[in-house]
Amino acid sequence: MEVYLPLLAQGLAIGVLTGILYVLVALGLTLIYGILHIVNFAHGEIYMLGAMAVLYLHVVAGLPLVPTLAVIVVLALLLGLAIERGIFRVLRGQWLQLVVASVGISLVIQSIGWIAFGIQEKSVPSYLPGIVDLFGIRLPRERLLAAGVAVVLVAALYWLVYRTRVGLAMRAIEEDEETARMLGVNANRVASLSVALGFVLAAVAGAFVAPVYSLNPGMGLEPILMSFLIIIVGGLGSITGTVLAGLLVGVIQSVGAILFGSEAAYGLVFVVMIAVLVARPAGLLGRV
Amino acid sequence: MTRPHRILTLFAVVALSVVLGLPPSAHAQKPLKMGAIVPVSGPAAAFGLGVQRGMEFAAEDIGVFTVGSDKYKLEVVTYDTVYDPGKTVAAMNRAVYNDGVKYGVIIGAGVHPPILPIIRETGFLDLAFAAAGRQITNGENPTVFRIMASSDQLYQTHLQPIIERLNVKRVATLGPNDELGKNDAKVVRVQVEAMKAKGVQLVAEEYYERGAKDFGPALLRLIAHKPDFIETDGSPTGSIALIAKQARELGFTGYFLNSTAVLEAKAISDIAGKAGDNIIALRIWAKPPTQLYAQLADRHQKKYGEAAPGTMWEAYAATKWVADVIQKTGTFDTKKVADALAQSTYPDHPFGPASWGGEKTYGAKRQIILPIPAAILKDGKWEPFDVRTGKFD
Repeated sequence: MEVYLPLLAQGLAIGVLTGILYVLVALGLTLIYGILHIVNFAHGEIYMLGAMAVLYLHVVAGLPLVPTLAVIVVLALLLGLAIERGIFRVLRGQWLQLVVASVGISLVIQSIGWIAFGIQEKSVPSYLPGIVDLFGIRLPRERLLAAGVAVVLVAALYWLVYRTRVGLAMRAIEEDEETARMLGVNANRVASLSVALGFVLAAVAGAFVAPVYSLNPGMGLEPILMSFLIIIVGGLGSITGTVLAGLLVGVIQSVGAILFGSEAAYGLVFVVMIAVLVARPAGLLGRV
Repeated sequence: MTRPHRILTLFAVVALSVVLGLPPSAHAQKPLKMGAIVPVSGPAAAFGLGVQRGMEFAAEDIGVFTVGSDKYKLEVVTYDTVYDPGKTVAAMNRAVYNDGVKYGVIIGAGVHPPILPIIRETGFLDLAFAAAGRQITNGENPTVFRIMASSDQLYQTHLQPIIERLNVKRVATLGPNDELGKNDAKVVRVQVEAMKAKGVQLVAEEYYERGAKDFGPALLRLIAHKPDFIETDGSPTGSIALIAKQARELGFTGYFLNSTAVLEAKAISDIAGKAGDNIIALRIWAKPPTQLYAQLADRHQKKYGEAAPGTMWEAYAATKWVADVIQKTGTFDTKKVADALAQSTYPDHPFGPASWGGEKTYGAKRQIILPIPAAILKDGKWEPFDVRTGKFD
């Protein structure tokens, strides 16, 4: 095969758009881990619920998209608050128990999903159908929309964590919970907010990725694995690191597939990621 | 005895005799366990649930049957394999050694290699739902029967006629990077090679991780070779729909072929829209081939509120076929049942009359022979494309 410039440019564009989708899915995970050091294995199922909620509220029930998103945000907030209050708070600091609990939540949601939503693949029609042709590079509008949402959410999360008093409290908890408590930070409230926001980010990601891919109750598995890879390579808890790692994975996958074939590209992603971790064990922007 | 006492006694005697007269279904039958050793969770769950439901329908229809002087009732026990070889070994061990299961449907070419030693050792009668060829059904595995058309059989039956009919010259393949995908690519290569004189060539081969949702990079590489036909192997409904959607987004305008999966037209159309047009699928009946097929489709829709999964039909037929042979041979000895099964035919398959073949290709008469259809997707609906006998030596 002749590898020529337009093909590489198309590959790069697809890689960037795919990478941004990875970032969109990984954001909530990095927030919860970054603040509370909880590895939320149920993140993929919340993402799935966000996608299914769009299907049933917007497509089946006919609710307009904006109110649908509002309902999804509220439901995800409530679910996040309930799980933090009922499970995560009780187990705070007990790493292994938290892993077991979040894996359990994940399996329970998925099992209920298979019963409630059935086994057939489902889909959500594109919010923005069509292709943008940019000098011969074909970009699906629905992916551009999802990428736009990801950019807005990254900016909003960055602003929240680094520019607000709530964000300051979050970072204080992350740094040293005991000292933060002594200085009057309500750690439980901050924890609830972090988990709830993490759930909202996962559900919103599901809602915007839904038209790009197909839906089934097991759809959260692949994104969650990729998200773990991205947040570890990016540096646990680092928003900027997550963005960089997401883009890196997307571009390596895409350009690597063009140059070496898709199977080799899959391996190449891990080779590069291992190399990054060997060179910087805390990840691209993680702190040692 | 006073009159009321007599009436009461008479009533008791009648009631007792009614109860004793009912036993076949009420209390005398023994369970015959059949395993659905299939994925019912994870990305391949739809395949497994289809098998499970087909077997359960068959068990309902068989009811109570006699072997020797005893009455039996089929009990379908499901063991989740998650389509993972390690978990399939665990499921198989549990079924065979813990629960004493001797018969069952097992899904997956990729999960078969590690369980074949257990099958050989115990004589487990495996109704294999696995398209890949020789390594599963062969002379060394006399109790393994493939109950679906094999990849070799599908491609030998349909690939060349389809290529000729559509005047295809440049073929590309995109399949899962597992046992099935690799094996099928090999078969396609042989078939296309045989058409070299007619100007047909295989221009590219790519693989993807099963369960993947993003095919853009692989498709880009394929499309760079300008194929006019992409063979997608046994990619399931969700994957083929996304492949079609993403390929059209990248400018591909040709045909797709799907061989071993049974696809759901509405789901493809929902996911891919018009991009799903011109997917040709083997093993899809655009119109019910038999009355039984239509009845089962209707029954599934009523019970589960959705279209029947593609694996349901063969699992239903195989379960009934084996129960029939057990009854006729009067034994549960799986080796004797296997011998009798291989010699039997089954006129009541939902696809049409079925028998066994494949002796020349696989060295064992353990490959189901039944009519094989091809359908083409147009505007979200399957339209008949071709039906061939599926004859396979």
